[in-house]
Amino acid sequence: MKKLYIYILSALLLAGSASCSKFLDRESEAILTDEQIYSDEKMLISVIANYYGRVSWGQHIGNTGSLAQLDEAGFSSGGPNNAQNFPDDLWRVYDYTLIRDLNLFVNGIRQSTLEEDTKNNFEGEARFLRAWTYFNMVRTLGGVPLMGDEIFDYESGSDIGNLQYPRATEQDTYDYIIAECTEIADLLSDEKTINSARANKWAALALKARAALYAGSIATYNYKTPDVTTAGGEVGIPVSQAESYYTIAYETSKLILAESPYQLHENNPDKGRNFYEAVSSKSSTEVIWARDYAYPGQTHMFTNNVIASSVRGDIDANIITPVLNLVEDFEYIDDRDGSLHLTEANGDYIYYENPEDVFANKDPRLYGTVIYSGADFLGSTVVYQAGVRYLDGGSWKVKTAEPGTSEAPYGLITSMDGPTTNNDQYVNKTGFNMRKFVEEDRDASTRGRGSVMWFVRFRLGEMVLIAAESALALNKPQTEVAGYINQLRNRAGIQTLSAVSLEDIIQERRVELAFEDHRYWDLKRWRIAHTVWNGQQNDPEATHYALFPYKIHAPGQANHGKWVYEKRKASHTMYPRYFRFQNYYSFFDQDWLNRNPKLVRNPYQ
Amino acid sequence: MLYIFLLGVCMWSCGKDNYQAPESTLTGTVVYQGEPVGVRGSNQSVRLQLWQDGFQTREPIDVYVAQDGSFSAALFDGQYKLITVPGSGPWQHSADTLLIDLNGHATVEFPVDLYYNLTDVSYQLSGETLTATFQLDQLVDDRAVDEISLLIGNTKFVDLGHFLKRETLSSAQQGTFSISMDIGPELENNQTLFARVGVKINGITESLYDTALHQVK
Repeated sequence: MKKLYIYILSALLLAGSASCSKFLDRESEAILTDEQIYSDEKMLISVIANYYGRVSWGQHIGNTGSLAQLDEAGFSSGGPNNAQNFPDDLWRVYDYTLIRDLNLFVNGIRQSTLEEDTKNNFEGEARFLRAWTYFNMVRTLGGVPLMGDEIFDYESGSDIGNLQYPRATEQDTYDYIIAECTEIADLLSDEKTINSARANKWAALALKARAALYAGSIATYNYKTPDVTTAGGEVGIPVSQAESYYTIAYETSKLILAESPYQLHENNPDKGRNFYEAVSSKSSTEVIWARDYAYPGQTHMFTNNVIASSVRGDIDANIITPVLNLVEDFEYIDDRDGSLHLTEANGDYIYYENPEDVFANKDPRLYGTVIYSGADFLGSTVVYQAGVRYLDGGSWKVKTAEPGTSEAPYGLITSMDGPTTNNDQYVNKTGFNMRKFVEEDRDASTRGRGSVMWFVRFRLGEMVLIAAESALALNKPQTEVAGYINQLRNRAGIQTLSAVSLEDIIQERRVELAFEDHRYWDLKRWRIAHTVWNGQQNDPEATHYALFPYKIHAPGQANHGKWVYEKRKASHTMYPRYFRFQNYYSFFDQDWLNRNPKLVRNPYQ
Repeated sequence: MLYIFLLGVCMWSCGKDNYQAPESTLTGTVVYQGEPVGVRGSNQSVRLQLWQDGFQTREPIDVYVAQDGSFSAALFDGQYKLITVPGSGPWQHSADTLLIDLNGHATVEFPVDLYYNLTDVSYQLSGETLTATFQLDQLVDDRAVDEISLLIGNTKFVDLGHFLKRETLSSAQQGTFSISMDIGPELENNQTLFARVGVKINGITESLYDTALHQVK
């Protein structure tokens, strides 16, 4: 029996080896040649989809914690956050692997046999992603090596000196981005894309406007940080260049406002809901480019992470929550000072009938950005209650408990939505929840399903602000500058301005573009980050504050059942925000410096 | 049989995987004209860097400076270069390096060029008022002082990132000055209190401080 087995085995082996050669000569079904890719539109879409998925940097909802790094939100769930300063490599980007991949694509598509329009559009998209990558590099690192359309082939033994490009100047890097965007604007389609996920002409022009604005403001304001500069111009743009950059920003943003198919979203008569929909609804009329998500396959956990406890679909909630600083920066409809009225002049609490009364007449954009006490979400009302204040023998005492606990005779002591100061997971510590970018769907907050909310990168609201800021810098008439700002203020539903200064623009960007990856870069390019986030305890702008609502229990008294509010330092942000001079430009990693000795270190390294 | 094999592998691999730990130490003080320089010691705020030639890639070793200007590092024997890091610390970045030959143990004094010098700091507590008197010397022409602060804290780390109360004096460039602060509530609520004076120089991240803390309570 055994011999038969061996005979059969050897016979099979012989048979196998006879057909071996053909087996090994098969065409690969996993490796595709350039001709196969560049001649097929569907192939190209799948290749470029990969590149679109690799360009999410900075503050974005795919990385929940990134929204809590500044003065917009803080960490809530769990124990306190003890970050003392900004890291030397915060949001640093240095992706030359992607640059090479994009260059390969650009070179390949130019030789493609497809129709001219299709080729051009793909080339435009790849070059847009390339310009976007360089933009993300220059805003953290300053000037970086510019590869152009270069693709290197390395053979062992060849001189790598040719592969080592030195850093371009900061100015040249911005110029390259602007030049690329100008050229590709003619290659790309000018129609809206589905969910604004793919780039079009307007995305390229929006990037051009933003890049020019950044360069212009760095040139204008870097006199405030004279030590933040390198001898060769890798960091630092001469002030003489400011006007030409602002002119580009001004003209490009005006062109987008005049001719693009986008409009400021004003579909909903309820101003607060309208602002939410302008940014967080895929029916918005103003979003130019977004990182879109779809179910199944491409979802994210932002809604799951930041949702309020009382409306969550899963266990997760309150990972990061907005801080009082942002809420107080929103103006009132008729008062530019947005501080909440919590106490009388003599220090007594002001009593409010309903929780939302303290937020009455606030800029409706607050409703669209932040969930505050008494606001609605997913059909229920979110009410924050830190505890109960009651009279004991003539003096006021405070009672707090685990979220959701009731006790006779007080009723509910601490709301399910907090806030508290303990180290519990998933419990709110600041008295607010996120609304911008939170999907209004309970399933979106479950771990299983996730959210398909998009992250908006460019929208018309920003273009209006670019027009206003560049017009101001170019000394255009105040009526014109105010005209731009007032477009946003009218859309928001607050009083208009007749005169506009840089402070007004800083203020408007702060509230309009909160959580949209602008604040950090704005304070850096105006060179005020080190004065706003000065790392000093109790500094009102650097320290995080929370709002703790208390319900009054005083049966028989007029104030029984009313609300008072306490502003207090956020327990879960232990240290104030500390931006040092070395944070203006990220450090170059020693690894990169070792591989390319031509690279110049950034200041403070 | 299996266990003996595994034991053998572990012992054999231990010898190949572990490197010797560095056992030599370098200690030193940052000095100006022989006197230690006080800095912020918390949060690894102020550092110097050690470089060593002879290796294929260059990777500096950060040496963090403590409140009283001292620093230490555990290293291997060899020749090192100690330099200032541009912008780190209230001193000018100098191209000079301090060459250190380390053989077991070395103590060095690392001289720096300051922008301002803070000397003769004395503290007086009378009742509930704390007064600090000090001498400020301007050593360069092109930098102003933003402000000088008298800080009080309840831990041994007192600096502009860790303090309970602060009193500032602006527009002081050269001369003898004093700052007074009422610390009644702080004296009541804290078991221990430490005081320190800090000088914030325009355009420089880290302030110059008194080398020593003064224990008020």
